[in-house]
Parts: sequence; C-alpha cells; structure tokens
Amino acid sequence: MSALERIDIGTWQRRFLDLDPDEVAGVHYFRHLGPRAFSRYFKPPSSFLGYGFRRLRRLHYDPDPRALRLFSFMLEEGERLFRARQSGMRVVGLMGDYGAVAPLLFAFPDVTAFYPDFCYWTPFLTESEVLLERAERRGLGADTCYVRAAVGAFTSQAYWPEPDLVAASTGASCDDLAAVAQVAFDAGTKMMFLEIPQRKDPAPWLTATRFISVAGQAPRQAGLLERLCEIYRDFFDRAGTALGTPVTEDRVAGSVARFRELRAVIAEIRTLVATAPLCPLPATEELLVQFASTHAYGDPAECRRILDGVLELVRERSERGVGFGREDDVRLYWVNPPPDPLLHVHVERTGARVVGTEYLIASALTPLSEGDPVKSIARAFLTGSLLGSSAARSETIVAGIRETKAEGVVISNLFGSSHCGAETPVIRRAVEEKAGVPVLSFDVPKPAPGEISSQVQNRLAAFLEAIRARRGRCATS
Amino acid sequence: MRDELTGNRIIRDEMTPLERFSLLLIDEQPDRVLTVPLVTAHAATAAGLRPGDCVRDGALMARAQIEAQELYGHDAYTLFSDVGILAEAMGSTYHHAPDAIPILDRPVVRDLADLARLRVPELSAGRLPVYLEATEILHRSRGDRIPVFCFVPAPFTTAAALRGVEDFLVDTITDPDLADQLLLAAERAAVPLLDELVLRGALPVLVDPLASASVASPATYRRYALPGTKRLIDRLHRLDLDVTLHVCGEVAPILEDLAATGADLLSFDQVPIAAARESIGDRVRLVGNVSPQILLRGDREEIRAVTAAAVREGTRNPKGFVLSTGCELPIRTAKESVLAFMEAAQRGPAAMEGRPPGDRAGSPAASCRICERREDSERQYYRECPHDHPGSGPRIPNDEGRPAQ
Ligand code: SF4
Repeated sequence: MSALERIDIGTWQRRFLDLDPDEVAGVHYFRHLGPRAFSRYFKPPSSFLGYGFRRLRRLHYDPDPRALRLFSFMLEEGERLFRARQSGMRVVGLMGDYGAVAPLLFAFPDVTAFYPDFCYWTPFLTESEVLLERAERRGLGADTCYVRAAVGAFTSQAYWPEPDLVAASTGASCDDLAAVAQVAFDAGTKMMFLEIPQRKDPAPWLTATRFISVAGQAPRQAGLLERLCEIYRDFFDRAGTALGTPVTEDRVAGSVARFRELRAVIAEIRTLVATAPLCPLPATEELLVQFASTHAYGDPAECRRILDGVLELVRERSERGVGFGREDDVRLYWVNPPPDPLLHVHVERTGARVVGTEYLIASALTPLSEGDPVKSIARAFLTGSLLGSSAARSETIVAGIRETKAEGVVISNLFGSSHCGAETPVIRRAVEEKAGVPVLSFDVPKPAPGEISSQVQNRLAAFLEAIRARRGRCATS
Repeated sequence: MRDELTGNRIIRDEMTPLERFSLLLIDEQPDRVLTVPLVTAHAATAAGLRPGDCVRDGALMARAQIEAQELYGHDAYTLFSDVGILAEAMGSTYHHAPDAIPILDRPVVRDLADLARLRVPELSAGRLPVYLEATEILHRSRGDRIPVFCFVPAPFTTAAALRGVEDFLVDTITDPDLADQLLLAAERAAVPLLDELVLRGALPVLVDPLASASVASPATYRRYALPGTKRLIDRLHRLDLDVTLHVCGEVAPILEDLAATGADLLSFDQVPIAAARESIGDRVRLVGNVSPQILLRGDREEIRAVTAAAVREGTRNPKGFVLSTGCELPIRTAKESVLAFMEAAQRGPAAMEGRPPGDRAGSPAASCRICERREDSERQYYRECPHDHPGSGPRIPNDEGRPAQ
C-alpha cells in the first residue's frame, strides 16, 4: 500500500505547464461542433482564480490529469451554456427532479441541459455572497437554503443564457426549490412545471390505497410508476412544442441508453472508492463524479470520456493498492454532503474518508434498467429521496451505512434548508437506533473567505476522536 | 418585459464588474459597457494618498485601488503605473519621490559583463512583493466582484529599463545580439512574476509603452518586441487565460503586429476606434481610448461627449469593447472629470447626446435578442446594439427601431 498526496494549486499550475500542449489543446467539449477555440476547457484550477473562484486557492487536488479534467469540465459549465446558445443549441434548465428529466431531454436534437439548483456551489467556490444578496433582494433570505443562489443567477443573466425553457418539478419536491422556481418564473423565465406525485409509505389509515412491493425498493402506491410515465410522456409533448422539435422513440431510447452506461461507470467508481483499502479518489472529485449522473454537465458524450478516464484511474489505483490517506482512516457516511470542497478536503485532512453519501440526487445514481426507456427513468426516480418520506430515506441511509461499513455518519445541512433540515432529526434517530453508529450533524456556515469555521473544525475533530476511541473499546470488548 | 401574472415591470439585477468582464470574454453582451479607465497611480490621489508611498507598500497600494473604485465605480482594479518593476528587481535603480511614480535613474546594464550578471529575479526582489501583496489583498477582499488587472512590463519595455531607453534603441541597430540577450533576460524575468500573479488571482496585462511607434519604428517592433511578447502570451494561453496587451502612444502603424501577439484584448491609445475596429476588430477585443489629456484638461461637457462617442464607436466592435482611457490617468486628474467619464459610460451615448433613452439615431435600425432581453434593464442604450455578435439571434427591426413584441 502506498499513499498518494493531494497537490496544491501552485503545484498543479506548474505540472500543467509540463503536460503535452497538443494533448491539452485536443480536449474539447461539444465535439459534435468540431474543435472550436472556445470549447477547449482543460486547464489548471489557477486559471479560474481571476474569474472569481477564490476557494480554489485553498484546496488540495488529485494529482492526476484525468481527475483534473473533471474539475475543469465542471467549472467551465457556465461558459459552455453560453457557447451552446451561440452555436445554435437550445438551453434548457431543469429544477428539482435530479436525474429523471435530463436523460429524456437529451433525446431532443441540439439541446443542452443544466440544473440552476446546482448554483448553490457557486457561493462556496467563489467565497462570495453576491448571488445570495440578490436573492435576498427578491425576498429569499436566510430562511431559504443556499439553493437560492440560483435566483441571483436568474436575475442577472450572467451565469447562463436565458433558457429556452425551464422544466421545474414541483409537488413532491422541496419548498425551497419551489420558491426559487417561482422567482425565476416571475423574472420572465419560460417555465414548465411537472407535478410530481408523492411516494407514500404504507399506513393503516391509507385504506383506499393499494401498495406494491418491489425487491430492493421502498413500497409504493400501485400505479405510481405509470403516473410518472404519463408525466414524462406529457413532458415530451410540451417540451417538443416549446423547443419546436418533436422527439422520436429511437432518440429517447438512445439517450436513456447513454445515461444507463454513464451511471454504470459512476456506480463502479463509487464501489471502488468505498471498498479499496486506500481511498482511490478524493471526496470532492468523487462528488463531482456523482453529480455527473444528473445531467452529465450538459455534454453527455464528453462527460462519458472524462468518466471513463476517472474509472481507469480509480481501477489502476485500486489494483496497485495506491490511494489517499491511511488504511485506518475513519470511514464516514455523509448525508447531504455540502457543495463546499474545502469542507471535504478538511474532513480528509483530519483522518477520515468518505465511503458513502446520500442526498437529494440519489435517484440519479440508481442504475437504469433495460427495456422501455421512459419506464426505466421513472422506475429509477421512484427510488429517490425527495419524493418520499423521511422514514423511507432513513431506511436507505441505514442500508447504505451497513453496505459501506461506515463507522460514523455526518449530516450537514445548509443554513435555511427546510426539507433537509426537517429530515435531520428523523434520520439521526433511525441511524443511531438501527445502524448503531454515531452521528454528527451541523449547519454548513455561510460561504466566506478563509478556512472553514473553527466551530465546525472542532466538532469534526471531536467526532472523529470519539469514533477512534470507540474502535479501541470495540477491540478490547 | 412584464410579469405575465402581475403586470409588474421586471427589473434585472445589475451585474458585478467581474460578471460583465466574464461575459465579454465569452462574446456575450453585459448589462452595460465595461468601463475600465486606467486609474493606476491616480488611485492614490483619489484615495488621498501619495503615489510614492503606494508603490512601496502593498497594503497602501491596494487601499488606493479600493477607495478609487468605490469613488468612481469603474469595472476593474489596475495595478499599477510603474513599468520598471522588473528592471528594478534585476538591478536598475529608480528615483523615488513621494508624489510621483518611480523614474529610471541608473540602468543596470552598462556592458556585456553586466548583461552576463543578469538573473531572473526572486519574487522577493525589489518591489515585487509590494505588487504581490496588493494583488492578494484585492483578490481576497473584492476578487469575487471586481477583476484585478495586474500590469507586467513586456520584454521590450523591461529591456529598455535595464539598459536605458536610448542605449537600448541604439543596440537594436548596432548590436542586435546584445538587444536580443537583453530581451531574453527580460522575458525570462516576467515568467515567474506572471505565474505568481495568476496564483494570487490577478488577470495579467502586459504593458509595452516603450515599444509604441512613438518610441520605436514598426520594424523594430516586429523584430524585437513582438516575438517575446507573443511567447509570454502563448504561455498564458496554455493556462487558457485571456491576456490584455496595453501599448500607449502612437500605435497606428503596428496595429496588425499588436494583434499578431495573440493578445485577447488590446488596450491602445492614439488611433481612432473606428480605424482599429476596421483593421483588427474581428480578432481582438478593443480597450480604449479616451485621451487622458481630455480628462486632465477638458470640461465636463467635453469629457461626456468624447466618452459617449467612444462608446458609440467601440460597442460596434465585433469582438467586443472595453471603454477605457488611452493611457493611464495623470495623477492630478480631477475626480469630477473621472466621474463625468464614468457617468457618460454608464448612461450611454443616447442620453449623453440629449436624445431620449432608446433612441437609435445614427445606429443601424436593428435589435438583437440580447438587446430585447435587456429592454427592461433601465440601461436603455444597449437597444442601440448594432452587433452581429454571437447569440444575438435574428434581428427584428420595426418602425420605431424597437424590438418587435
Ligand atoms: S433544503 Fe435540501 S432539498 Fe431543499 S433545496 Fe436545499 S439542499 Fe435541496
């Protein structure tokens, strides 16, 4: 076993300049447009500093170019959306569904998708309140989670071009997301709302509802799958009208198949990260891999190339027994991992590794079955957390903890988050009772320049210490 | 644009300077013209400080920039006036006075032996730490909203400051080898400084005032200044950074050469904007070029008129435009003059010329999708946008010159 070291931003800049310039210049997004000067995206993190991404200075990175490529692909997403529009592609925003609508949307020709919701990374990456201040001026203040950053992006039109359409899932979704969608609507955005039905848990008083059980999944009302499929078929019609192009069955099948393969790659990366004796990919990079499952950062073909590279890297490392940290690092399961990479880096620096995660994009990580593509999307979405109860979500988390042999659970919520915040006590109780592992929950502090808050640092340190002490007690007993 | 349900007028949020700049770099239209007068050492005056103190103290240098920006509201910090920083760090001596920027006193290279002793300066040499500290402070305090442009002398200007301007120009004729070696040393010296500035969040601006046609011939520019500048820009391009080149003085005869350096933005001085647009505007974003003398000596009305005209001409540039001054503001420029310049930039040419907002007199009768979207922004003058810029979509002129509803 040998340990790898993460490298700082300066080291990446120097190493990047030593890479073969032709290879670097050959890396493009939207390759179907042919190589364009603008579509080159592979660059070191320092290249983003002057454009406001101040957090990058404090991070430590995987030293392999294959992992860096993923980082730059993600950071370049905003520009990619503008370039898509300039190149004649349609730009569609998706909100609140996480992984269901994107594979369907990519069936339309010349289209790209993004999640305005994921703008909640921006205040952290930029160490800035610009977007949050704008949201506040529109009435979404500290009592809404940082996903409100999307409001500031909608109203300034500086982060993505005005979308041709935004398809927002409402109903069994989060009210913070709904609030953001409303402001976007008020700001003149062309919206389409998808009313997502709730996945209920069986209960004695639900006498009129018939429930069905599906192996490995939470029970659900009979007919729910078909209802979702109807919603998605209706989506095709409405989106086709809005975008001025109908979609064919073949294209739908092709797009879903591409996401099926993409998710399979992601699943293998996640498994290796959880099971290798030494962690073969740092937490931030792994989180970026997971987010790719939702919409492939707007370019499924290039995203697949990148993830193939990351998978190859993770396999190599696992086979060679090479990785980050130490074998006795504390194995953490992270619920609602925050969009603050500094927090991930900090957790790893303090002697822990993240072996599993659960959050509201979980439905995008569920494998897509073969067969009817729309059904396969709906089936996967039904496994998600957002449309179900907190109790069902807790069950998923408990299963995940057992599967990954996690020794402790961290639940981090964004200040003001209503959905996630409300679920925390339920999850905590379930984890303590059923999985028997300790839980640390905290609110992620407001993004600010500098290191993460000392209070969070201290609580994490004490938590990890307690887990190590527990190990000792278990060994002696 | 109106809210469909309530009928309320929808107001877009004003962009930050960094958002404006980022959009410009990707061929998009910001909410108003990006406005970056070369405030540089004048920032000290605006902040009630002395330029000579600021060039020796990074915290003061940063404070001057912050206070000047808060006063004027311009769209980037510009660090700083002093083009001798590399030469000084390599051994040339400068005369420092409290109320002025440093002036070259004794060049370090007298003969070949001096040349052989030249080394790439450590980042701790001379006043390089002052620049690095100022950059760091600005990026840390406001780098999420305001771009931090850092001026780094291009090789030709540093070589001239290592050798003395006249001697160096003579060398280019009588001893090309010596001139080449000086240029190479100057180029190598710039590399670590540029790298470090990037790591501290700066956006690099190469400045080459001594290479303009006011000082050297176009042939000299091509033979001596262009190659080293181009290599530095190529290197920055490997990091996929957008590079600004600033050359003040007479540049008409070398416009094509300046574009050939590969600079993404060209900050230029004594050429009509229309002429620059015609010759290189399809390749380079133009940055310019209200004469600093107008700001120094002109009255408010003159400043507003000249600025409005610059906006009118510049915003027609196909690759985009940053309103600026042709050279840095003289230290003693009146604050009211800079404010008049900023006001003209922010209100747009129509308002400045006494026409109602949105009036397109003199502009092609056209609109673009972006202009339509901006209709609600209360920054009406982008409705004059005549660009065929990417993303502008179909043009829909109508009788009033307003976007069709
Ligand atoms: S509360 Fe949770 S689910 Fe809701 S927007 Fe915030 S992070 Fe997403």
